[in-house]
Amino acid sequence: MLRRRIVRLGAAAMGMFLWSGAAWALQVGSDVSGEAELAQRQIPLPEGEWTVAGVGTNTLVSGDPGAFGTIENAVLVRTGSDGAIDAVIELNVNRLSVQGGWGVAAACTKTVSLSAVAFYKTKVDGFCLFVAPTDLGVPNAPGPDAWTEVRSILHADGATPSPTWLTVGYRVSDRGDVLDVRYHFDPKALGLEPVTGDAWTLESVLQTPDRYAALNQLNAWGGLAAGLVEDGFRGALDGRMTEAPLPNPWEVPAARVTAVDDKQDAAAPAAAAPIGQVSPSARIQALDALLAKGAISPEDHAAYMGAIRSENEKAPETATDYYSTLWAKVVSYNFFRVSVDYLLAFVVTVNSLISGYITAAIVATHSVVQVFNDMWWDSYILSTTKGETVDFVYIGAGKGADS
Amino acid sequence: MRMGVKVLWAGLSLSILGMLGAAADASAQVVGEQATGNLLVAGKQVPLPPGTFTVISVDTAPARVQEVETLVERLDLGPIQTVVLASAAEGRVNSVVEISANLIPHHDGWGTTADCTRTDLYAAVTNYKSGWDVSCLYLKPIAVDGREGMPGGSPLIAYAKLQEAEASDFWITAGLRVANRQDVLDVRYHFDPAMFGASASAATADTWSPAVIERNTARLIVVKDIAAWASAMVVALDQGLRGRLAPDQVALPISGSSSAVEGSGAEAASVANAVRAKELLALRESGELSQDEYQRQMALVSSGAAAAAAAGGWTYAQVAGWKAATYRVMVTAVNVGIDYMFIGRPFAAGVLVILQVVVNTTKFFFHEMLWQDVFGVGPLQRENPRVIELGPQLVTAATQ
Repeated sequence: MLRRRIVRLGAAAMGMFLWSGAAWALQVGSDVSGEAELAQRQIPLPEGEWTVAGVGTNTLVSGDPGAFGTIENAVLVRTGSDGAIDAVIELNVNRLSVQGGWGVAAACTKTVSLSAVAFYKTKVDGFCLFVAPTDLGVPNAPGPDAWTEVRSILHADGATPSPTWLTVGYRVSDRGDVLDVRYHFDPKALGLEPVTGDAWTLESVLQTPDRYAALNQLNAWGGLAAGLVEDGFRGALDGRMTEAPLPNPWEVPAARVTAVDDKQDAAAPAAAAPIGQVSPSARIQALDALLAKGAISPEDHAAYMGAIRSENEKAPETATDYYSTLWAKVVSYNFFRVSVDYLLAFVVTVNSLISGYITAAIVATHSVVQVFNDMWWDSYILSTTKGETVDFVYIGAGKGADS
Repeated sequence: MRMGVKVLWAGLSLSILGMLGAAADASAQVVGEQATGNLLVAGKQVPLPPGTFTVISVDTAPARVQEVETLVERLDLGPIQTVVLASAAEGRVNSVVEISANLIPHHDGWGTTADCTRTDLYAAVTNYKSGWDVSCLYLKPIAVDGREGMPGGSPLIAYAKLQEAEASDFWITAGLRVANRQDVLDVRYHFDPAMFGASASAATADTWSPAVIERNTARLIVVKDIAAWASAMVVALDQGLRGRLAPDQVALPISGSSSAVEGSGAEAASVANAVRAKELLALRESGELSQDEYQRQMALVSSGAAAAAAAGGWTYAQVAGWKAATYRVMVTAVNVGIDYMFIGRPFAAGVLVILQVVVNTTKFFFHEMLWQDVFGVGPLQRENPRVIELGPQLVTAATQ
């Protein structure tokens, strides 16, 4: 076997696969709309013209994902109809691919976020959405270097921006790369009076109908944009943002839950269902497009379509499926258990009645033990395969989301 | 089930060939099109070996997933684009490239190929794998037995005839598989050993078998050159899956790849790590990375800590063993009570408990292994990639 050699061969050519330096960074002062691209990751932009207000590199405040080179950071701003900045986007992407994944953002796991959804989370990849307040408008709000200039613009000419903005953030990563994008919106754009961060605790929001409605609005928008963010991470937006720009949160229909009594119905958007280009509808559209281009025959199209629709109609696995499997396993094991345990008992007691009692008692007690043993180990294995927390310096939180 | 819109080479005229000299770019290839550098297949970039290649076959086919001992078509994964290219020179077809890539993204990962898990080939190396992504390569000989095993199949025969070139009945194949959660790319590079100055045929395939290859220096150099080239291609293919290869990527030479690095001191560094080291150096020299940060990250590359951490995980046997141990502790305590209660004699109850411990622990372990491997739905099973085959099925020397 050449196994050992093969990992050290081929290096003669390695320099030929370095990424080209072109199209790395957004240019400060340039205007973009539809989508922005940073380090070959595309970011969908809410409609309007955005200005690249700051670019730089960022640092990690937690986690150690490996040799990532630099973290490219950019801040984009949009000016509202009143001439003031009404939305800010901060982007963080890695320059070099790592090998072991990027973990999760603290904001996706901690309970202080107003809502958080993990679309998927494994040791090597993850995708989550969260909604949280950010003290972006306070004087001297901390942040990465690219933020410094933007902060002065925000407070120029004695302006007094809302102290706390509302953030819809995403962290999407695979084994090699990460995209952390946070959309910050001025609460005034959502029809809210400016308040400080203390008023944006979850308890406070649940008691305040207009803030609660805003949270729902942002959750709805976050769910809508999530598929676009993931597609952009994979470089698959394909210019579609130019044709149909992403609407603003306040333009997205959402259940207007205003009564505090309704709060049980209001939560983050549901996870689980595939989104973006892997959503059931997008896959069907892609198959139709292949037929239209002549890439597949009508017969093939029908066969694939049937299989895809059939797969789409399958209900996602639930906890009930899991428990059903555990019990099926217990039943399977009991086939062995009954015969072997009876035989062992009979060898010792030479009494069929006592052997039967012993076997029955074993089946009853051991089956319960087996299920709980399985559940504990499955839970433990799952806990060991989740990624660590990796965070950068974010706007409004100089030491990551935990500060 | 035979799927696809297949266009065979044989129907095309030489005049069409001459009109298609530009490098292929488009998302859909056309038979007769020529390509150099790299090729875009189903939106993924595929690096090609040196030389000018001609597209000889464009097709779609369903993916086949291995379930227990059989391969089962999975139409719900959508059609898989297959493109075959060939290159001929001096009266011989010297290279064939078979490319398979998904046309429709899937949300739940793809999987590895069975050849990457074999131990009877020249080499089979998995760079990383999980239930959601994989990167691996393998090297193996292919002795053609009739048309069934010919890389490229009947379109290659037609291409060779048209080119008045001979197609070898013995090939060295470097197979690469790269997949992430949504997309997969499978490329098989087939090389005629004659292009490296080594004679080979199906009749003398035994002299090229993995078991004896190290006994002949000339043949070993051929395999090592292809191995060296393929290991660099894994890195390129990984970038290609992400659409990050430069469009004007220059093809890497194959001959001499191994001798160029032997003795260079690149001990223990994988190709990916070597690439990473160069990239970090470039960032340091451009001033984008501080010296301290450069040294910190280089230390991570050298130690391979991240890759080791990513590779770590549970095996079925480990979990079955731990489960059997914890289960046995609990049920033994229960058995002591049950056995004594029904038997009433401490010695006899003790003998029964010991018998139960010995026999049932073994029974439990193997039952666990069976369920995890075949029926399980727990988190461990998703840590292991399924085996999924794409493109044409070949009869190989190792499987004949």
